[in-house]
Amino acid sequence: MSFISATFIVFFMAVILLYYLTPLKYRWVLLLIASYGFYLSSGVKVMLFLLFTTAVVYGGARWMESVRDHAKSKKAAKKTNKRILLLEALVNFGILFVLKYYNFIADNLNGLIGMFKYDFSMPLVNLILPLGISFYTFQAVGYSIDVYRGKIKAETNFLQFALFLSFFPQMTQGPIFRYGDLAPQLKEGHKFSLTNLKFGLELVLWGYFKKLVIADAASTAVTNVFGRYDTFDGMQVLIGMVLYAIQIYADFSGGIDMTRGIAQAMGINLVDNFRQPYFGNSVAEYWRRWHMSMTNWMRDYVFFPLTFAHFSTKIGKWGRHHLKTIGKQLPAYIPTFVTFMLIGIWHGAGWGFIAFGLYNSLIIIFSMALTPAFDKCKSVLHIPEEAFWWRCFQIIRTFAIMVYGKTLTRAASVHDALAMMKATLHLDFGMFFANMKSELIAVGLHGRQWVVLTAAILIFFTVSVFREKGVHIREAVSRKPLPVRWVLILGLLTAVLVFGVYGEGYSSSSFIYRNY
Amino acid sequence: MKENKKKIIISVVEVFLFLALAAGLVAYLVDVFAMEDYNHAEQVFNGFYDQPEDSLDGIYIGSSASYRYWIPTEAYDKYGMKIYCIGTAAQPIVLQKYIIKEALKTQPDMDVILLDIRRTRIGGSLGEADMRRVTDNMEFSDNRTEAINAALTYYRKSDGQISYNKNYYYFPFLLYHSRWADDFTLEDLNPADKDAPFMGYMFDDRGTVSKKNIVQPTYTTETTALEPQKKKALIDLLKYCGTLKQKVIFVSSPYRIPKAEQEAINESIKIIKSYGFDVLNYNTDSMTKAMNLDWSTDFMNGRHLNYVGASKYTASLASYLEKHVDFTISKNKTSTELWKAASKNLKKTVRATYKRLGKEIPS
Amino acid sequence: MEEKILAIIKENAGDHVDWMNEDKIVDKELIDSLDMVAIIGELSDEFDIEISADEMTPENFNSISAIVAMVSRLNEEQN
Repeated sequence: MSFISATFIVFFMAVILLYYLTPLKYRWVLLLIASYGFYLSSGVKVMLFLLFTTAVVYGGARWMESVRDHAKSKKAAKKTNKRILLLEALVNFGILFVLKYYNFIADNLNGLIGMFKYDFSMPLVNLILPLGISFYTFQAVGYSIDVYRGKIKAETNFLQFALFLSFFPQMTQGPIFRYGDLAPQLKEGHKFSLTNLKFGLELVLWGYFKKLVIADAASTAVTNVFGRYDTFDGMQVLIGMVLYAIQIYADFSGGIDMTRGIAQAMGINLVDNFRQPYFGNSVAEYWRRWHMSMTNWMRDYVFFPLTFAHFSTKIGKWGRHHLKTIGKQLPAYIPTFVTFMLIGIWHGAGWGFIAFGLYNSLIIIFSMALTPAFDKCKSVLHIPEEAFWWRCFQIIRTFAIMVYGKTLTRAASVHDALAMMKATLHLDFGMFFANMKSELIAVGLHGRQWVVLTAAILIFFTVSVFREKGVHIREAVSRKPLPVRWVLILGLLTAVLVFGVYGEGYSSSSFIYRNY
Repeated sequence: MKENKKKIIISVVEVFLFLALAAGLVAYLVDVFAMEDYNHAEQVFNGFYDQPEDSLDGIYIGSSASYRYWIPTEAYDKYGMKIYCIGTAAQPIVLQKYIIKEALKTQPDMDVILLDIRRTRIGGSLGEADMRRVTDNMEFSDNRTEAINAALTYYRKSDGQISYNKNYYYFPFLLYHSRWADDFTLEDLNPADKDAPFMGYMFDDRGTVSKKNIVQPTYTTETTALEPQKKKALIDLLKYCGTLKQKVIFVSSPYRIPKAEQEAINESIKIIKSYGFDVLNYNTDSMTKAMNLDWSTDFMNGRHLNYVGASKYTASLASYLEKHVDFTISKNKTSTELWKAASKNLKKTVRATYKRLGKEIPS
Repeated sequence: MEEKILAIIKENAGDHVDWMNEDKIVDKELIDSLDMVAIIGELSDEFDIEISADEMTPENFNSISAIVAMVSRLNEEQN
């Protein structure tokens, strides 16, 4: 069930209604039924994968706890539990890995084997990818690690645990939650609150605005440019690339808004996943603001463990003694590299994603290494850190870096991405502005569509600025007088209904009708 | 406690008001973005739905072969008969049964149903707009849903190049909202909820007052097989009409009919007669002479009569109906306001248009 | 234990601060993140404990005595 289908709208409205009609104690049961119902709509076979992971992780956690309770020594318990955890992680990541990456690996291996002229090739299988497998697998393994660390107790209610891994609003795009944050809210039945319902539905509407009016509108132009980049000039390619960065942000954060809005309508508060990422002043800062649930997961379960691992500290010690300042940083390099490579391939199976991971890790590592040099330059040039124009420069610089980085993941191949980037090095501003109308239309949207898209992006930008300043938009709106509130909300609704890119395209010229 | 209760009541009222406002907004948007078809089809249906219940003597349905020919108010002026013309451009045969069903909802006791058969000819338009002129403008009902389903089946079997997503026909707004990027203008913000001004007859500057010298066709009695889907739709329609208590009369209005089209229409006439229905075929020497049709002054183009020709046609057909149909409704002479007004309106418009274009006003 | 901890701090973060009498080490940002990583690594090795990310709080690291308390606690929990 796609988020932007009429079926889904009817579905989640019904679930919210039924939630409040169900007795407080059993509201979590309704959520479980709704979640599995939602999951079933994508097929029975894929549901088996979810059930399998649920059972394995549930069982593993309880096993670990019983080992701890009955063990002779803490050390022995830890050793056994480590093995259980590794087995669990292997099984779950194994499934994810095979389903997601087998074809990619097989394809490339075949290419390699082909080079040596062997007559053997690995078959490319048509593997199903269960809905949300990237999200629930990580959520499940995170839970296991938390139990292993003793941070939380293993869940004893299997059905409630199943709900934690299948909560329907997050099955499509995440976010990835920690058990300690999400589970209590799911289990506890929430009393009806008009504010929660209003704010929740407003957030859902805002999510639809971002997805339908911005992301899906931009996607026509993006597909056009990325698909035939060699027919466009530098400015047009750049516009396509920038639009992609906006599209992916609007689409992803819009989907998250729908997720959080639906949950909030039922009294469940899900932590936000985005904090105006394009306002980050460095790539590292960007990643602290983008898809925060995933990057935080990586930080807590990959980056930190690697940083504090034995080999890391050994490298650190060696580095300190032999290489002075850079040496101190060495222990951070490998964890950074590994973390970002993982983030890259988590996004998908393809060389573009691997390149993306490499791109980010190298930039962050280099900026770490060059920080002392940069700091010196800044003090020599007397650049004030807090100055508005300096911040603007940092933001634009970071945005540009991410626009180019994301091109790696969207282009048909790394080669195409590099060609596109090369094209943007030749920007003919004069020609572009002289023929702006035809240049923009060639990118793929008519005049009116550009106007509406630009206006929508400006609205999105303005809202982001307010949020960056700490303004809670929905609360601020709720304090405005009633006519203003209603005009804003109904205006947003109109914008989605009219300008949203849903339904089939309409073209009056193909809709020929004669008058007799 | 009282404070609390008050707050709750205010909240509930607020919520309901908001929802009502939102619903009104959506209804307005649906209206505003409706198909841009020079409004004729929409107005024709609006005008029909505005007719008081049990006030019409009959309906005349078909393509432009109907609404460029039958002038309801002139038949009313002369004989008092109220036969509304639910004609739309290139009206698909498959939908005609459903138009009749729709009309019978409010006019169950009407006496006559006239059906133009020009669309049974080989070829002709098979477009999405042709279907939508009818289905978009029918009120939401089971009949409309059935009409859409039947039309889609017909189109699919006839290899029609249209969208087959049912939702876009049940809820046209899903398609039309995209008009904002295309042919939407500020004028559309004022949704024209007008009724057809002349009870379904189309009178406009463009052609109705012009005249063209048309060569009279040679008539033939030969026949040729109909296209299979059209034949199926026709037979289905005939079977349905057989269940009605109304007198159903099929008409073939006069035009410069090519030989191939004649042959097909002759075949249709044969089939229709075999089901026991009367057919008035104006595409014969005798009929055109009987109505005094002048091929040099009565046509606006090869396929349609101008106002002068339409007047003649209406007089001829109405006189036939007066003799062969037992009119029971209009005998009461009730519900005449709309018709009197439309008749006046047409006369005024005709006079003004001819004058404005510097042409001689016909008698 | 206190001696060992002090030594580790001095070795990684320097001698210029009066560590024993400081009680706002984290609040005043007297140790940068990379040094902190190294210190935590050595503490883990030295005392055979696992210091997870959750433990990296001001409460645990604002003073030498706080660090001592944390290490003792973890030692008891894990060994």
